[in-house]
Amino acid sequence: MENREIILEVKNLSRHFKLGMKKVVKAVDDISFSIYKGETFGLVGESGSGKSTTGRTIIKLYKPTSGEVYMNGGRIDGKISREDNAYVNKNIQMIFQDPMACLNPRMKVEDIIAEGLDIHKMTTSEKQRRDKVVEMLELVGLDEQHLERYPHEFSGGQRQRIGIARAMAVEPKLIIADEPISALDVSIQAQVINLMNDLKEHKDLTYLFIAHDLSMVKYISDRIAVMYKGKIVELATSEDLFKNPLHPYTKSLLSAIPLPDPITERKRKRFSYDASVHNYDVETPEIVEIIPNHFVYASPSEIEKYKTEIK
Amino acid sequence: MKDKILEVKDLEVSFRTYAGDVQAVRGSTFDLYEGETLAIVGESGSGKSVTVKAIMGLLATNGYYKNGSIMFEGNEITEMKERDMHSIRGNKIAMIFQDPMTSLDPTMTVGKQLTETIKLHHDVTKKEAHDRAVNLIELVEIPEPASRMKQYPHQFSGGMRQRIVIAMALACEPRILIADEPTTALDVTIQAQIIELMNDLKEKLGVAVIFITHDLGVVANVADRVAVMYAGRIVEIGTSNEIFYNPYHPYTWGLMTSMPDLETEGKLLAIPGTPPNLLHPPVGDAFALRSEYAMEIDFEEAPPLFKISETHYAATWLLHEYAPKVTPPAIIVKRKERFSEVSE
Repeated sequence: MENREIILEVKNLSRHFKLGMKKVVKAVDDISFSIYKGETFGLVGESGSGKSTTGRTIIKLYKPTSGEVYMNGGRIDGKISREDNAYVNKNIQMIFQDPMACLNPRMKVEDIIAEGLDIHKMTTSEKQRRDKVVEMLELVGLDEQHLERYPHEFSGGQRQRIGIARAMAVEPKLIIADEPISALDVSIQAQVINLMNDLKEHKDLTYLFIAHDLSMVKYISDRIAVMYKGKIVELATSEDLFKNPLHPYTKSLLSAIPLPDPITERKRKRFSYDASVHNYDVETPEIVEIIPNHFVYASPSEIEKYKTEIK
Repeated sequence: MKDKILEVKDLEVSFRTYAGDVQAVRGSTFDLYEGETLAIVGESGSGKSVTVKAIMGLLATNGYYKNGSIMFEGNEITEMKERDMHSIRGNKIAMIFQDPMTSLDPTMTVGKQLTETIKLHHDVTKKEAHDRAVNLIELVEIPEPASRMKQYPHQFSGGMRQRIVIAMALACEPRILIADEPTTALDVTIQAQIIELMNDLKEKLGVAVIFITHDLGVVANVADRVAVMYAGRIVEIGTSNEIFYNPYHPYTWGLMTSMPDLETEGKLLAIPGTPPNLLHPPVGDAFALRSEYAMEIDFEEAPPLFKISETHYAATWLLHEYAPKVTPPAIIVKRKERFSEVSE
């Protein structure tokens, strides 16, 4: 895995929000990770863990308080040249949670999807523009007859497809999907997930998949990072994370996933996470690669303890 | 079998709109027994929320009971006057909603809201109401109940707020508690705590619960019996084991295969298409258009509920004696293998 190409690298990224004069919320607090080309990187955590802020800071919706973001080796946070900025805008796209809120209700589907094409001047004629839009619509399972319609004429699942088509139109390399399916019905969720997986294969995409639904994240991701209060507490391949959860927060999170299986549900034992088990006044915790490709946020003595737990 | 406390029969509810009548519930029949939890599962627009709102007598002004009956303690709810409903709603049948913030008054302390509820339904002194409220907060496992009484809803976290709402619903010791997606707005770990609390309270108080959700994982945890709704009808109803390990309706199969569990690999078997528009519901089986198992008759006539066991019914023509034998998706076959394991 080490020799795989890194598409996005986040180094010591922090994003703090000021609340009034003295209070500071450390929404993202000194996190680092890399995303390899062609993988799906899952970012999970509960509300307030900073997972969405991370995604938004990467795509430059927020300015980082400190830290760096690199794409294909070039730095993309802060002030960058106009060309670099255009490159980032084109190559990182985002899919949002609420497909109604992210589509302009007064624009036709054709214009919504073509907006990125226009900005990046990717088409030269009206015909080429329309062909590209139709191609995108067909890619996500819609067709030509939808061109002239407005967002309110579509169902939730269809709107999410339009959101995906818009993101795909400029042929990005990385897509940040922030809870793309949590507003959809169960039967529609599977359609959208299958679509995202197909696109990834055919269009050579990389995903940063932000979600709270652990069984879905496990299904779609190659690697998963677990966030808690602005920190990444554990990062591993999805297989490894579910087999060998080390951090007590990860354990509690995994023990709470509801499964459609009454037999296991009856036997379920939940762990609750109590942050006071860590004694971080004495020892300073840091993120450590405990076994290859498995990182955990812990103090030296905890590392020793975790090492004995690995199966 | 325990006593029936609620009987819903052939219930039909429609809403008048400018475009015509939307037939939100098109004939659902089920019973609720004392002390059990019945989960109603379905997608948005399947009529699950409308069904329980009909039971509470809380239909929007353009909604009306088209047909059928709802019997509760000898009362026909569909024919009751609003004034008479006051003695039932909140008192004998209570309800919890999805978003705890919208069901609490942000300008009133939690204690005031609780005591007010108690005083409205019972003839008690201020002191008695206060004591009862403290007990209720203790019942839903919130630490330091006496000092929490003086706080406002915004001073509580989402999970704690939902606990307060549960306490309010239980204030009058209802016989039926209706929970409409009570954990959907909460984080997984908090969701697990609330579900645990609700299971405990059900045991302790013996209240019957109707639990509405779209999350089959939650259903597996809470339900004694499960009703699956699609396009305004109950398409399958049975005990939790029967629905999860021996489902018969293709829609139930679809729900289970489209959701990954922790072992799922390969493509998800999604249900194609979208639910039908209930302004013009399709003739026959509403699911036929999305089902690969659909037969000609599915487009002509709606299937009745076929009996599979004393407790298990499904509305699909596949159960008719002339229907061809079909093999369900592999995941369902695997589930069915486990059915003998649980039925022993």
